[in-house]
Amino acid sequence: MTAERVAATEPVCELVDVVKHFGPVRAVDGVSLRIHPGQVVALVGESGSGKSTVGRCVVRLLEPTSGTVQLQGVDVTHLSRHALRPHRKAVSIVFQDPASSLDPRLDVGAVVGEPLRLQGVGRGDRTKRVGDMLERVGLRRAVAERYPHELSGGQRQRVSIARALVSQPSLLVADEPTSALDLSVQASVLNLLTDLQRDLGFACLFITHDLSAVEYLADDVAVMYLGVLAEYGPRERIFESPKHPYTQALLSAAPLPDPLLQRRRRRVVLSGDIPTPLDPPPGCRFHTRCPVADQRSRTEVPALRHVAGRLVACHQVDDDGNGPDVRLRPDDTPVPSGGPTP
Amino acid sequence: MTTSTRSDLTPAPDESTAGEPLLQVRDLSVRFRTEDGTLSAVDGVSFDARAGELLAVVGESGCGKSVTAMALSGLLPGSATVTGSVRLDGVELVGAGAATLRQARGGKIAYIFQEPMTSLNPVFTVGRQISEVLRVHEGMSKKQALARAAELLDLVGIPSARERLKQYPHQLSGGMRQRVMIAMSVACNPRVLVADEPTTALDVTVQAGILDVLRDLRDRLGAAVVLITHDLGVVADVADRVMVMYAGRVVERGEVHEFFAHPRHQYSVGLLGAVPAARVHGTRQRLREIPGLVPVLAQQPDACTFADRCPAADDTCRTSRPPLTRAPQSAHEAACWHPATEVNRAVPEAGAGEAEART
Repeated sequence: MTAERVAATEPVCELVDVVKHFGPVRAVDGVSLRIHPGQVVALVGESGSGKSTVGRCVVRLLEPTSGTVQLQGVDVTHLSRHALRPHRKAVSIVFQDPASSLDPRLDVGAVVGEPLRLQGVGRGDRTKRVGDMLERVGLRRAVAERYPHELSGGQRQRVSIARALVSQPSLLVADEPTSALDLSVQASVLNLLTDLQRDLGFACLFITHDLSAVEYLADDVAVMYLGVLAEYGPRERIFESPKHPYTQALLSAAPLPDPLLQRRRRRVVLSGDIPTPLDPPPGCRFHTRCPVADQRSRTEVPALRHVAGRLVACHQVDDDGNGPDVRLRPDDTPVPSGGPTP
Repeated sequence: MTTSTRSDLTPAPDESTAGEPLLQVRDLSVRFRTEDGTLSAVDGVSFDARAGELLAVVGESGCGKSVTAMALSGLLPGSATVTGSVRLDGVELVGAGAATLRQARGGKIAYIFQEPMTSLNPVFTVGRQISEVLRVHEGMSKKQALARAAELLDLVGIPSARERLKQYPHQLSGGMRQRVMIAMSVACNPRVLVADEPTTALDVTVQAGILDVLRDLRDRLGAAVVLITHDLGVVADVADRVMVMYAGRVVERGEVHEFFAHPRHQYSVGLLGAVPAARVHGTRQRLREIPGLVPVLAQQPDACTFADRCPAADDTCRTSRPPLTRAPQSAHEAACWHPATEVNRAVPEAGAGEAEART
């Protein structure tokens, strides 16, 4: 999507300072995102970073504790189930595990047709649109009479995608849609999502930990760590010159399927694991694992600010985008590339 | 990890110098009796694992890689029939009695599984669980065993090891639990370490550390490591040799650089092309798809089991089983009637990042 189009259009979805706490668990602690029509925004992070919670707030499966969620200019943050209904068809979600997200008692036709039924689409029209949608996702129309358990994992995920897209949403939230699938099946689902996104033009919030898929699909990348954004900006900038030490570590840790390249790279092994969101560290949330944290990182929360064409939340990065690269040893010469791919 | 622990973990004189590989698997087959009749899970698998070498076994779910690993030391349930030969340090394990197997497991061959939480006992401290292994297998006193357990935690990169000994599994993070599992596995200096998807449940920044530990065990203890994984990035990172399995058979086997630069079996070519990778000059290359599914086989056919999904398959593939054959002047083997060549694969040379741009 070009910059002009972005500027000219209203975002499909805008999150402003969204906070979601589950009792004492501070799962999401102030996330702002903007998704424009037709744009793919990848939300990346490790388990416990809060990325799925953000996705569920976007589709309003969860009600944010504070902040606002706008869908096509309408504030849906605290709408009741009833008031939310007209806005439901604007956004849908695909989950990681199609085996548990499809009702085993409904045949595929009923599963895919349910969003249409709820919108009051009549039976005849529904059957036709369901059949068309099944073909679009690469299944035969006759699959409508089958039950989820009769299908393979890849076929089930295609059914989930068909259900999500049948009401022609302007935003699809895809939460780890390929993580439960085998490699060769992952490829076909990623190809399918790419094709559908191009043909149908929906925007997509792609939630994943798979950085190679992110680089393949995304326009913008938002990196989450322990409930907050560490870095957010255009894909090329994030992958080619990550500024936040966590982004750098994450990109360097994902192994490349090429032994020559992989063995030449310096990987950053972070000490320990992501801390518990019950009691996130003060200051910069990453400071407990950050190789370049200083006193300020331990006490003062870094603001997310515009630096070198992206947003970054790190005290060590100056306003011109200069900062440490944790992938370099002090005596190393700079490596040409940062991302999982050169 | 301190230097002081290194000396006492130095391996015994290496068996590999004696000629025979530590682990020699020949014609291993596994069949399961199920309600729907018999099922052939592993068919005629042969491989060697040598001291100080990391062998990666690669394949998608259902290819038989985990069943092969379990079959090595008799870990499969009674519904499985295992035939063939598994020689561990000269001792035959297929058909061996319970005592022989018990001695082998934990002593000469050790396992690390994917989910450390289910493999650790939640009601005992980490120290107790590691030291138990040492007291049973090595006859150590409680005090000796705890001291050694602390050394082992240190070896696998767990900071403040002495304090960790007193903790319970639930107090540890996923990465730490997996390190504890590895410490338990290597407690008795196993000669062969079988790691079945050891990093699959972990985040990438944690995975990198666990892979470092495996590399370290190979190099410092001279263990033969058999790493089962579906992640080609992990293979590229740590493996010395690669063995690709498909539908219970070995379809390709070779040195790691050879494998990535010149995959020969059409299935391997497909797998490598399915990994999403760089946009070349800003354009998105379409990912290679492998149509269809891994077959579930009641009988092993006299045919290539990949033929139904293979772009290069012809009548030969459907009527005759391809043997593992070597490429000219190389130890790189593939079981394919139409192995990929430079021409029909149309892959740029590896290096400069282009190797990933296969389509």
